[in-house]
Amino acid sequence: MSELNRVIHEPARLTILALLSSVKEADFLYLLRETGLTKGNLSTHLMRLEEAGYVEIEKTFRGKIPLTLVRLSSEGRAAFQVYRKSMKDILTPTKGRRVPVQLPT
Amino acid sequence: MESRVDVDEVSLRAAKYWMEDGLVELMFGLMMMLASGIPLAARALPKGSLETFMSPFGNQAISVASIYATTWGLKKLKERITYPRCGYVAFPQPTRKRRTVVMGFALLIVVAMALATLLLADYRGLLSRLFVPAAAATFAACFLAGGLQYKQPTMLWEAFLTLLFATILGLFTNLRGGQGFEALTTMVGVSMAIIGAFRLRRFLKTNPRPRETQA
Repeated sequence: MSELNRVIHEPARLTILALLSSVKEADFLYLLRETGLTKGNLSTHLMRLEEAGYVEIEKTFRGKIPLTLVRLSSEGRAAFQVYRKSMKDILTPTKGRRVPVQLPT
Repeated sequence: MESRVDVDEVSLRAAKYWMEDGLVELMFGLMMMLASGIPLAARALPKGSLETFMSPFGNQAISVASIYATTWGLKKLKERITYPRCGYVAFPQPTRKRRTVVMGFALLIVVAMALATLLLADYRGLLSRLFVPAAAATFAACFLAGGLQYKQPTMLWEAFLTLLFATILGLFTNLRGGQGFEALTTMVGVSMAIIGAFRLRRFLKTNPRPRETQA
Protein backbone atom coordinates (compact mmCIF):
# COMPACT_ATOMS: atom_id res chain seq x y z
CA MET A 1 0.00 0.00 0.00
CA SER A 2 2.94 2.34 0.51
CA GLU A 3 3.32 2.61 -3.31
CA LEU A 4 -0.16 4.05 -3.71
CA ASN A 5 -0.59 7.76 -4.28
CA ARG A 6 -2.37 9.01 -1.14
CA VAL A 7 -3.82 12.07 -2.91
CA ILE A 8 -5.61 9.85 -5.43
CA HIS A 9 -6.41 6.98 -3.07
CA GLU A 10 -9.08 8.99 -1.23
CA PRO A 11 -12.47 7.76 -2.65
CA ALA A 12 -13.91 11.18 -3.50
CA ARG A 13 -10.78 12.32 -5.31
CA LEU A 14 -10.46 8.97 -7.06
CA THR A 15 -14.04 9.35 -8.31
CA ILE A 16 -13.32 12.88 -9.56
CA LEU A 17 -10.22 11.72 -11.41
CA ALA A 18 -12.01 8.69 -12.87
CA LEU A 19 -14.81 10.96 -14.11
CA LEU A 20 -12.37 13.41 -15.65
CA SER A 21 -10.22 10.67 -17.18
CA SER A 22 -12.81 9.92 -19.88
CA VAL A 23 -13.64 13.51 -20.82
CA LYS A 24 -11.84 16.54 -22.16
CA GLU A 25 -13.39 18.83 -19.55
CA ALA A 26 -16.42 19.00 -17.29
CA ASP A 27 -18.06 21.68 -15.20
CA PHE A 28 -18.63 21.87 -11.47
CA LEU A 29 -22.33 21.01 -11.77
CA TYR A 30 -21.60 17.75 -13.61
CA LEU A 31 -19.02 16.70 -11.02
CA LEU A 32 -21.42 17.64 -8.23
CA ARG A 33 -24.14 15.44 -9.71
CA GLU A 34 -21.94 12.45 -10.46
CA THR A 35 -19.93 12.39 -7.24
CA GLY A 36 -22.86 13.07 -4.91
CA LEU A 37 -20.66 15.34 -2.81
CA THR A 38 -21.74 18.65 -1.31
CA LYS A 39 -20.53 21.84 -2.98
CA GLY A 40 -18.11 22.55 -0.14
CA ASN A 41 -16.68 19.05 -0.14
CA LEU A 42 -16.24 19.03 -3.90
CA SER A 43 -14.53 22.42 -3.84
CA THR A 44 -12.12 21.21 -1.14
CA HIS A 45 -11.24 18.05 -3.05
CA LEU A 46 -10.77 19.98 -6.29
CA MET A 47 -8.47 22.44 -4.53
CA ARG A 48 -6.43 19.54 -3.15
CA LEU A 49 -6.13 18.03 -6.63
CA GLU A 50 -5.24 21.41 -8.11
CA GLU A 51 -2.51 21.89 -5.50
CA ALA A 52 -1.10 18.50 -6.46
CA GLY A 53 -1.13 19.63 -10.11
CA TYR A 54 -3.54 16.89 -11.16
CA VAL A 55 -6.39 19.10 -12.37
CA GLU A 56 -6.68 22.48 -14.03
CA ILE A 57 -9.55 24.72 -12.97
CA GLU A 58 -10.78 27.52 -15.18
CA LYS A 59 -13.35 30.01 -13.96
CA THR A 60 -15.29 31.58 -16.79
CA PHE A 61 -18.82 32.65 -17.77
CA ARG A 62 -21.46 31.17 -20.07
CA GLY A 63 -23.48 34.25 -20.85
CA LYS A 64 -24.07 35.77 -17.42
CA ILE A 65 -23.81 32.48 -15.52
CA PRO A 66 -20.48 31.67 -13.85
CA LEU A 67 -18.95 28.45 -15.10
CA THR A 68 -16.21 26.44 -13.42
CA LEU A 69 -14.47 24.14 -15.87
CA VAL A 70 -12.28 21.32 -14.60
CA ARG A 71 -9.92 19.22 -16.68
CA LEU A 72 -7.28 16.62 -15.94
CA SER A 73 -3.72 17.84 -16.43
CA SER A 74 -1.19 15.65 -18.24
CA GLU A 75 0.48 15.09 -14.87
CA GLY A 76 -2.85 14.08 -13.36
CA ARG A 77 -3.58 11.69 -16.21
CA ALA A 78 -0.18 10.04 -15.80
CA ALA A 79 -0.60 9.80 -12.01
CA PHE A 80 -4.07 8.30 -12.42
CA GLN A 81 -2.78 5.68 -14.86
CA VAL A 82 0.08 4.78 -12.49
CA TYR A 83 -2.42 4.51 -9.63
CA ARG A 84 -4.71 2.21 -11.63
CA LYS A 85 -1.80 0.00 -12.59
CA SER A 86 -0.63 -0.19 -8.97
CA MET A 87 -4.14 -1.14 -7.84
CA LYS A 88 -4.38 -3.81 -10.52
CA ASP A 89 -1.00 -5.22 -9.49
CA ILE A 90 -2.11 -5.38 -5.89
CA LEU A 91 -5.53 -6.89 -6.57
CA THR A 92 -4.54 -9.33 -9.34
CA PRO A 93 -2.75 -12.38 -7.95
CA THR A 94 0.45 -13.06 -9.91
CA LYS A 95 0.64 -16.49 -11.52
CA GLY A 96 2.54 -18.85 -9.27
CA ARG A 97 2.77 -16.39 -6.39
CA ARG A 98 1.26 -17.78 -3.22
CA VAL A 99 0.10 -15.76 -0.31
CA PRO A 100 1.47 -17.30 2.90
CA VAL A 101 -1.26 -18.17 5.36
CA GLN A 102 -0.55 -18.95 8.97
CA LEU A 103 -2.87 -21.55 10.38
CA PRO A 104 -3.62 -21.50 14.10
CA THR A 105 -1.78 -24.20 15.99
CA MET B 1 -20.01 8.43 -1.25
CA GLU B 2 -19.06 4.78 -0.97
CA SER B 3 -15.58 4.00 0.28
CA ARG B 4 -14.90 1.54 -2.56
CA VAL B 5 -14.82 3.08 -6.01
CA ASP B 6 -15.40 1.04 -9.16
CA VAL B 7 -13.10 3.04 -11.41
CA ASP B 8 -14.20 1.26 -14.60
CA GLU B 9 -17.85 1.99 -13.90
CA VAL B 10 -17.14 5.63 -13.01
CA SER B 11 -15.10 6.09 -16.20
CA LEU B 12 -18.13 4.99 -18.26
CA ARG B 13 -20.49 7.46 -16.59
CA ALA B 14 -19.68 10.33 -18.95
CA ALA B 15 -20.71 8.26 -21.98
CA LYS B 16 -23.90 7.17 -20.18
CA TYR B 17 -24.60 10.77 -19.24
CA TRP B 18 -24.20 11.82 -22.88
CA MET B 19 -26.96 9.37 -23.85
CA GLU B 20 -29.19 9.89 -20.81
CA ASP B 21 -31.25 12.81 -22.15
CA GLY B 22 -32.21 10.96 -25.35
CA LEU B 23 -31.10 13.88 -27.53
CA VAL B 24 -28.42 11.84 -29.29
CA GLU B 25 -30.94 9.17 -30.30
CA LEU B 26 -33.52 11.80 -31.24
CA MET B 27 -31.17 13.79 -33.47
CA PHE B 28 -29.47 10.73 -34.95
CA GLY B 29 -32.90 9.30 -35.73
CA LEU B 30 -33.91 12.58 -37.38
CA MET B 31 -30.72 12.54 -39.41
CA MET B 32 -31.46 9.02 -40.68
CA MET B 33 -35.06 9.96 -41.42
CA LEU B 34 -34.03 13.04 -43.40
CA ALA B 35 -31.11 11.44 -45.23
CA SER B 36 -33.09 8.39 -46.34
CA GLY B 37 -36.73 9.40 -46.04
CA ILE B 38 -36.58 12.39 -48.41
CA PRO B 39 -35.00 10.48 -51.35
CA LEU B 40 -37.39 7.58 -50.71
CA ALA B 41 -40.43 9.87 -50.68
CA ALA B 42 -39.19 11.79 -53.74
CA ARG B 43 -38.76 8.54 -55.64
CA ALA B 44 -42.33 7.55 -54.85
CA LEU B 45 -43.68 10.79 -56.31
CA PRO B 46 -44.30 11.24 -60.04
CA LYS B 47 -41.38 12.69 -62.00
CA GLY B 48 -41.27 16.44 -61.75
CA SER B 49 -39.80 19.11 -59.54
CA LEU B 50 -38.48 16.62 -56.98
CA GLU B 51 -36.63 14.64 -59.62
CA THR B 52 -33.33 16.19 -58.59
CA PHE B 53 -33.53 14.41 -55.24
CA MET B 54 -33.32 11.12 -57.04
CA SER B 55 -29.99 11.95 -58.63
CA PRO B 56 -26.90 10.72 -56.77
CA PHE B 57 -25.76 14.31 -56.26
CA GLY B 58 -29.10 15.28 -54.71
CA ASN B 59 -28.98 12.33 -52.31
CA GLN B 60 -25.43 13.16 -51.24
CA ALA B 61 -26.36 16.80 -50.69
CA ILE B 62 -29.33 15.78 -48.53
CA SER B 63 -27.15 13.38 -46.51
CA VAL B 64 -24.42 15.97 -45.88
CA ALA B 65 -26.98 18.68 -45.05
CA SER B 66 -28.77 16.29 -42.63
CA ILE B 67 -25.51 15.44 -40.84
CA TYR B 68 -24.54 19.10 -40.42
CA ALA B 69 -28.04 20.22 -39.41
CA THR B 70 -28.55 17.52 -36.79
CA THR B 71 -25.03 17.91 -35.37
CA TRP B 72 -25.63 21.64 -35.01
CA GLY B 73 -29.09 20.98 -33.54
CA LEU B 74 -27.70 18.47 -31.04
CA LYS B 75 -25.09 20.96 -29.83
CA LYS B 76 -27.67 23.72 -29.41
CA LEU B 77 -30.19 21.46 -27.63
CA LYS B 78 -27.52 20.13 -25.26
CA GLU B 79 -26.58 23.72 -24.40
CA ARG B 80 -30.20 24.67 -23.82
CA ILE B 81 -31.61 21.55 -22.15
CA THR B 82 -28.92 19.32 -20.65
CA TYR B 83 -26.03 21.51 -19.48
CA PRO B 84 -28.10 23.93 -17.36
CA ARG B 85 -29.81 21.00 -15.62
CA CYS B 86 -27.08 18.46 -15.03
CA GLY B 87 -23.77 20.00 -16.09
CA TYR B 88 -21.49 20.35 -19.04
CA VAL B 89 -19.18 17.67 -20.39
CA ALA B 90 -16.92 17.82 -23.44
CA PHE B 91 -15.32 14.76 -24.95
CA PRO B 92 -11.81 14.69 -26.42
CA GLN B 93 -11.60 14.98 -30.19
CA PRO B 94 -10.37 11.81 -31.90
CA THR B 95 -6.68 11.88 -32.70
CA ARG B 96 -5.46 12.18 -36.28
CA LYS B 97 -4.32 8.54 -36.17
CA ARG B 98 -7.75 7.34 -35.07
CA ARG B 99 -9.51 9.46 -37.69
CA THR B 100 -7.20 8.05 -40.38
CA VAL B 101 -7.94 4.49 -39.27
CA VAL B 102 -11.72 5.10 -39.29
CA MET B 103 -11.60 6.82 -42.70
CA GLY B 104 -9.41 4.04 -44.08
CA PHE B 105 -11.81 1.39 -42.81
CA ALA B 106 -14.81 3.21 -44.32
CA LEU B 107 -12.98 3.56 -47.63
CA LEU B 108 -12.12 -0.13 -47.54
CA ILE B 109 -15.80 -1.05 -47.13
CA VAL B 110 -16.82 1.23 -50.03
CA VAL B 111 -14.09 -0.22 -52.29
CA ALA B 112 -15.05 -3.77 -51.29
CA MET B 113 -18.71 -3.08 -52.09
CA ALA B 114 -17.81 -1.50 -55.45
CA LEU B 115 -15.56 -4.44 -56.33
CA ALA B 116 -18.21 -6.94 -55.29
CA THR B 117 -20.76 -5.17 -57.52
CA LEU B 118 -18.35 -5.23 -60.48
CA LEU B 119 -17.00 -8.75 -60.04
CA LEU B 120 -20.32 -10.32 -59.18
CA ALA B 121 -22.35 -8.56 -61.89
CA ASP B 122 -24.03 -11.85 -62.79
CA TYR B 123 -25.33 -12.14 -59.25
CA ARG B 124 -26.71 -8.58 -59.08
CA GLY B 125 -30.17 -9.84 -58.14
CA LEU B 126 -28.79 -11.89 -55.28
CA LEU B 127 -26.62 -9.00 -54.08
CA SER B 128 -29.58 -6.69 -54.21
CA ARG B 129 -31.59 -9.11 -52.06
CA LEU B 130 -28.73 -9.53 -49.58
CA PHE B 131 -28.07 -5.80 -49.25
CA VAL B 132 -30.82 -5.02 -46.72
CA PRO B 133 -30.17 -8.06 -44.46
CA ALA B 134 -26.42 -7.27 -44.51
CA ALA B 135 -27.06 -3.61 -43.64
CA ALA B 136 -29.52 -4.61 -40.90
CA ALA B 137 -27.00 -7.07 -39.43
CA THR B 138 -24.32 -4.34 -39.42
CA PHE B 139 -26.64 -1.79 -37.77
CA ALA B 140 -27.82 -4.35 -35.21
CA ALA B 141 -24.23 -5.36 -34.40
CA CYS B 142 -23.30 -1.70 -33.86
CA PHE B 143 -26.33 -1.12 -31.58
CA LEU B 144 -25.61 -4.33 -29.70
CA ALA B 145 -21.94 -3.49 -29.17
CA GLY B 146 -22.76 0.06 -28.04
CA GLY B 147 -25.58 -1.11 -25.79
CA LEU B 148 -23.44 -3.70 -24.05
CA GLN B 149 -20.36 -1.48 -23.73
CA TYR B 150 -22.21 1.54 -22.35
CA LYS B 151 -24.99 -0.46 -20.64
CA GLN B 152 -27.78 1.18 -22.67
CA PRO B 153 -30.90 -1.07 -22.81
CA THR B 154 -32.54 1.15 -25.43
CA MET B 155 -29.71 0.37 -27.87
CA LEU B 156 -30.45 -3.34 -27.44
CA TRP B 157 -34.08 -2.58 -28.32
CA GLU B 158 -32.88 -0.68 -31.37
CA ALA B 159 -30.84 -3.71 -32.44
CA PHE B 160 -33.92 -5.89 -32.13
CA LEU B 161 -36.11 -3.38 -33.99
CA THR B 162 -33.58 -3.10 -36.84
CA LEU B 163 -33.70 -6.85 -37.40
CA LEU B 164 -37.50 -6.78 -37.12
CA PHE B 165 -37.77 -4.01 -39.73
CA ALA B 166 -35.45 -5.89 -42.10
CA THR B 167 -37.60 -9.00 -41.71
CA ILE B 168 -40.78 -7.00 -42.42
CA LEU B 169 -39.18 -5.41 -45.52
CA GLY B 170 -37.98 -8.79 -46.76
CA LEU B 171 -41.27 -10.60 -46.21
CA PHE B 172 -43.92 -8.02 -47.01
CA THR B 173 -42.40 -5.59 -49.55
CA ASN B 174 -40.57 -5.67 -52.85
CA LEU B 175 -38.02 -3.06 -51.75
CA ARG B 176 -34.51 -4.36 -52.45
CA GLY B 177 -31.04 -2.89 -52.82
CA GLY B 178 -30.74 0.89 -52.43
CA GLN B 179 -34.48 1.46 -52.01
CA GLY B 180 -34.70 -1.26 -49.39
CA PHE B 181 -31.74 0.28 -47.57
CA GLU B 182 -33.38 3.71 -47.59
CA ALA B 183 -36.62 2.23 -46.27
CA LEU B 184 -34.75 0.35 -43.52
CA THR B 185 -32.77 3.45 -42.52
CA THR B 186 -35.93 5.55 -42.42
CA MET B 187 -37.69 2.98 -40.20
CA VAL B 188 -34.69 2.72 -37.87
CA GLY B 189 -34.50 6.52 -37.80
CA VAL B 190 -38.18 6.82 -36.84
CA SER B 191 -37.80 4.24 -34.05
CA MET B 192 -34.67 5.98 -32.73
CA ALA B 193 -36.37 9.37 -32.76
CA ILE B 194 -39.38 7.97 -30.86
CA ILE B 195 -37.17 6.25 -28.26
CA GLY B 196 -35.10 9.45 -27.95
CA ALA B 197 -38.24 11.56 -27.46
CA PHE B 198 -39.43 9.27 -24.65
CA ARG B 199 -36.02 9.42 -22.97
CA LEU B 200 -35.97 13.20 -23.28
CA ARG B 201 -39.41 13.43 -21.69
CA ARG B 202 -38.27 11.28 -18.76
CA PHE B 203 -35.06 13.30 -18.44
CA LEU B 204 -36.99 16.58 -18.30
CA LYS B 205 -39.35 15.16 -15.68
CA THR B 206 -36.59 13.89 -13.41
CA ASN B 207 -34.32 16.90 -13.90
CA PRO B 208 -36.26 20.15 -13.65
CA ARG B 209 -34.29 23.27 -14.58
CA PRO B 210 -32.70 24.63 -11.38
CA ARG B 211 -32.74 28.31 -10.51
CA GLU B 212 -29.11 28.28 -9.45
CA THR B 213 -26.92 26.34 -11.86
CA GLN B 214 -23.47 27.01 -10.49
CA ALA B 215 -21.58 26.90 -7.21
